[in-house]
Amino acid sequence: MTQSPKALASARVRIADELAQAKALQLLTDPVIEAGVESNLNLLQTHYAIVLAAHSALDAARK
Amino acid sequence: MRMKTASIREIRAAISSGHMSATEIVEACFENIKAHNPGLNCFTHLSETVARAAAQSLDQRIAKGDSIGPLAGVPFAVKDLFDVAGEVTKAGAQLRAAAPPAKTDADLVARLKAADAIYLGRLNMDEFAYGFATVNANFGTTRNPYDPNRLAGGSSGGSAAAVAAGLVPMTLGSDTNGSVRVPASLCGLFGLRPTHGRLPMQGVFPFVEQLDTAGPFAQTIDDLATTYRVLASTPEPKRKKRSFRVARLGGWYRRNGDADGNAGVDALAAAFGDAPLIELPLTEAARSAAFLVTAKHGGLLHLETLQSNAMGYDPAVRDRLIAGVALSDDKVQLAKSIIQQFNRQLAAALSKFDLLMAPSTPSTAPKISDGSIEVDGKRVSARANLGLYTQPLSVAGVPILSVPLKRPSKLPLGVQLIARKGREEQLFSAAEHLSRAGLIGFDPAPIQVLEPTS
Repeated sequence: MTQSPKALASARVRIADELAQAKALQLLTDPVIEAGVESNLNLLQTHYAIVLAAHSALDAARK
Repeated sequence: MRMKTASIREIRAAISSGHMSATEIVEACFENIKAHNPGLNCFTHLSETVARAAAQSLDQRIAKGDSIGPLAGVPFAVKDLFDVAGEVTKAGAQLRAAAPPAKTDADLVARLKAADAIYLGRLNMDEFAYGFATVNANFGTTRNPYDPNRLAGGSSGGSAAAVAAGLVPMTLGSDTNGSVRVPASLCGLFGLRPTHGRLPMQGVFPFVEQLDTAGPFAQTIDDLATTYRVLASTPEPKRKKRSFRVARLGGWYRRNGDADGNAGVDALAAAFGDAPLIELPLTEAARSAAFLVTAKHGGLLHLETLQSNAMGYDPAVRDRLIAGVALSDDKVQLAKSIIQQFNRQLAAALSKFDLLMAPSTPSTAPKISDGSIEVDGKRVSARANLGLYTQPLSVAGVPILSVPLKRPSKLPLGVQLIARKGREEQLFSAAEHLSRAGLIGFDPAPIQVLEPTS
């Protein structure tokens, strides 16, 4: 799979906000669940980085 | 174990001529299922009493000379997310075991029954349809009939394995991100994701409503098309399209995965003449966008149950759903914006070509013990990546047919045929042409005796 350096950098975005959101919704009540959720949030961040990079490229192309 | 079943036309002819009764057909099916399902784990529930009563009723009508439906005596089964009156729709989840039984049939089940098809039972799936593997913590892993050490694909793996093994000629599954096309490819079947919204979803347990479609599996294109016409309440067209402008999808589809898939695409495309290689630049981003939208909307659907009974879920599904709920809204909005722009790219391509072609899966069925596939030379999770080629196209709502390449003595592999919305009949016509040319079709070999799954 191809990912630009910018996308990879974005993939390292902190996911603390999302984990806090899960706690606020009373979804994270067990450390085992929290580890699994964090792993999945990391995967979603990677996909978001790809979306973000594509969006930035489209914006740049329009200018 | 892969056996050729009698076709729908053969069954109907046998029934209407009195050569076989519906009761005999149903009994033969149950005998076969009981012999082979323990090794495959595709059925999770058999509705023997209901099936025998329906067969007996049909036999009585035939004896009286009543007219019979287009699927008379054809046994079928459904993924465990379709409502069937009197049965609990578990959606592959143990935590739904105590849910009340459905009061009525899902519309699509009712349409099959109204055509005199005979319902036999329910089929295994990834819990709540979230996966491409049919590895289910509650109901076990469905094995691939071609090689029982390999995955059948998912999430409609039970639906695919049952047809590939020859236990029933036709089943229903559902496809949100590829859950019909992936198992169809790995099990060597025809599997259809119809135009989004074309088939009624009443009585189908949802996952992501803006992507969910129901779709059939069959061993032949004729059986698949016949079933689809009943599901869609549409007649067979009198005139069929014979020539097609075809393009092959490149870029994303040429960078990843097994070279055999693209060799297969090239061979099928050549049967229609000149077929250029085109690229949809946003394909990778569309796949990621589908991932994000699925996670968020799938998670929100389960929010209340997750808050009250998170431990009741399959752990792999639970953690994905919670992550989806927690995903921030702005990220999902950006994903939806990318989907809109990808859809414009795809629509532009489909304005120039009648058919697009791409591999259905990046690899053949992976081993159950391994659980990974090779993508661009790297080992990655099969459960998350078997939909690499189906997921981007799911967001467009167009009809997509996965057809099985003829690959003697090789593991099955499928190719996606993609058309404009509402053009399912074009897909069937193209597949009929490819079948006649001997390029695609179900391969019943090999026959193996399977040990019961643990």
